[in-house]
Amino acid sequence: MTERSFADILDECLDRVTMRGESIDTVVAEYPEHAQDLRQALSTAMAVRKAASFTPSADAKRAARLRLHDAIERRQIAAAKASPVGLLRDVLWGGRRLATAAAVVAAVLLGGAGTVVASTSSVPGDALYPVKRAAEQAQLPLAFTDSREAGLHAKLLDRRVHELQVVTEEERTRFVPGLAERIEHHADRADRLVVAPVDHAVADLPSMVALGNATEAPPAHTPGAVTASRPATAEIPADRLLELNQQMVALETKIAQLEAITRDACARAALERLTASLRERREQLLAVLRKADSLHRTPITITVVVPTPTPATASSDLTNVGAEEAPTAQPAARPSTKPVLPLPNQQTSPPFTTNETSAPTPTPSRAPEAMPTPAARTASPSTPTPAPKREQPPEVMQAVEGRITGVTLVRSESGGGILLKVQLTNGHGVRVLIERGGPRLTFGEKEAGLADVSLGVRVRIIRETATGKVRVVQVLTETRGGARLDDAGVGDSVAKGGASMTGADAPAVTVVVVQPGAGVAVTLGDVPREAAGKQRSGG
Amino acid sequence: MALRGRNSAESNAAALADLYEQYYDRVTRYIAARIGNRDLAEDLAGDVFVRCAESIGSFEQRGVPLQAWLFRVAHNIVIDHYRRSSRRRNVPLDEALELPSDHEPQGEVEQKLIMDRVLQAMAQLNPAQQQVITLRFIAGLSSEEAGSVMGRTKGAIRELQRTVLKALRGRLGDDLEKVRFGVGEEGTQA
Repeated sequence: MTERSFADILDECLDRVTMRGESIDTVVAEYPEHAQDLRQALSTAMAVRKAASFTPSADAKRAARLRLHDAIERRQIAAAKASPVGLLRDVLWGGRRLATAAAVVAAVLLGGAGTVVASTSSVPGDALYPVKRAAEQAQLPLAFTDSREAGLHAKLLDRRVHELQVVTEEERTRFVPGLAERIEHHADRADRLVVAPVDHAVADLPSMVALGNATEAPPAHTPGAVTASRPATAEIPADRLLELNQQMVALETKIAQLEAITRDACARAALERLTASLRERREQLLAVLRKADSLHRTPITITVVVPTPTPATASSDLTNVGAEEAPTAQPAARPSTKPVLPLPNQQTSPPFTTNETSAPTPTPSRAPEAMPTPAARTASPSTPTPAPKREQPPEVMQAVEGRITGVTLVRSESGGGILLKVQLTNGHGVRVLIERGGPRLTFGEKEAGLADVSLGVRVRIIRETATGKVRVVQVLTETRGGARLDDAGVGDSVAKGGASMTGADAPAVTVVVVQPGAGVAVTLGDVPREAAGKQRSGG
Repeated sequence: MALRGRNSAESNAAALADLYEQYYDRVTRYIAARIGNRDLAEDLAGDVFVRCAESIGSFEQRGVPLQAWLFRVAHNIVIDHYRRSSRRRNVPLDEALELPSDHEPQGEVEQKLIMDRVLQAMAQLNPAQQQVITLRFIAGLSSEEAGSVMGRTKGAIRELQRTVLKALRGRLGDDLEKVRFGVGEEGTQA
């Protein structure tokens, strides 16, 4: 067989392996005369694919989707300005109903290019009303994001209420039930798109708390099982909360308008039903908002215990995360979840200290005797008493401030550690890697580089040159004013062992990373601003 | 994939939305493999779809698959990036591999190192060679579609990919024998 033929055979085999999921062995078996060359080429192709494989971040994907949406919208606006008739043609060929299409054609014939614009003030019963509805319906598929679609439904709800007022005033009562139905539909759609994610996130937060609750004996975790058994996210989407709040305020306005309309005798029953339904919806929204607000304000301690280097003493809920060497760790062997760090908002002295590993003497602000805090006890109220007595209290390795709205377990690392994502109030997030063997965070060594910059939140990788270890240390967040500590400043403060806090506007709340077995205490809630201010001079 | 129905604003928008949903990840991986920077690749992938939205009106359906057009746009974005930065990538993907930790099993460390060598070997290929393997094995295009993007016949693409795979094999040697594929990894869509 010629070389050319081999290229064709290889191409076919590549498609079968890389696109159709067949195994290399299967396809190679069909061409024994080229077996060796095929196997080598196919395994090379697969290695290339594996090496370049990664999953783009959800944030980037969302941003790209929004940019695409904006670009499409800009283009459509430009097209409409250039040719309103073309826009109507698009509406027609976009799959609208025949009756609507006929109405649009009639409208074009009657009204010309400005028809769509003219139709915006039309109400049911008007000749141009179908044009208005068709133009609205054409917008919905272009919303792309739930958020935008919710906004569009809220806008349409507003229009229907206005139309309802007009038709009621003009005594076109036969249109009232239809409008009431559409109002209900738009309110329902907007709810589903906005309330559900918030409600889900709010519902998830308490289950995150259970992560650190030693009274609950979770099943032994295999490396893969942990992530699956945890909520996907415990972040309350701040933007959705805002939308929800706006939606609730808008609903109140609509209800007031509808109540005014119901004084008219016409269609009173339909409108009263609608008003009652919207009022009920408003109560539901309020309940979700109150719950979210309450969770947001209540300090919550989440304790995640880091796997210890020695399997025999490994403990905690997450000890088994990726701990291949300690597969038999039982719940009974988890007593060391007890030690939880003093929470910063429960201290009278400056709450943050960063100690060098080589300098274990804690500063007064991090006095180990202050360890069992009320919040800690809440997190593990009935920790089994035979807890191995920890001779030395966990040493605080790093303390970083930031107002936190949620903590997500991103994944368990192959080495047995865990990766947490800490979401900050302003929508920023940082990732904190807690490694198996403990976050023995060492400062002042050779720096591998700035690993993750996420909207002003910086995480610095420190490489221990002697052993090639990689440690991730959360360093700082952006100040609200947009100023950042420059890299040198961060490095300096870390090298000195000082807390690396930002400016006077530094947000409040603390992530504390401690020694193996002791846990990560994360406080959700407000920390007195004065405490944050004290950190500025840390170092 | 092809534009649905008429070349109307609505069908264009729907086609772009489909294109985005189906190909965003692959476009991002394609660009990352070409420029060696994943964060930047995510930004540039956004640029690709914006440019598609801006120019879809000029897209003429003459047997050219929409995805081929998409990757041609992606290729142009990569070229623009090269021009702006005035330098070619010559380093492996920046965050392709986390540095091995001492707690990591020996086998995993070895796998990471092998993957690192694969990326370095890819970086040493000439532009056409890089493009053909990224289009075929990372973007997941057929040789015919890759040919549409690169302006070559599918026969030329097949020959090119054969020589590139052979060259990579020569550079990587026995390392490739040690590559382990996860369950379902061998053959799953990129």
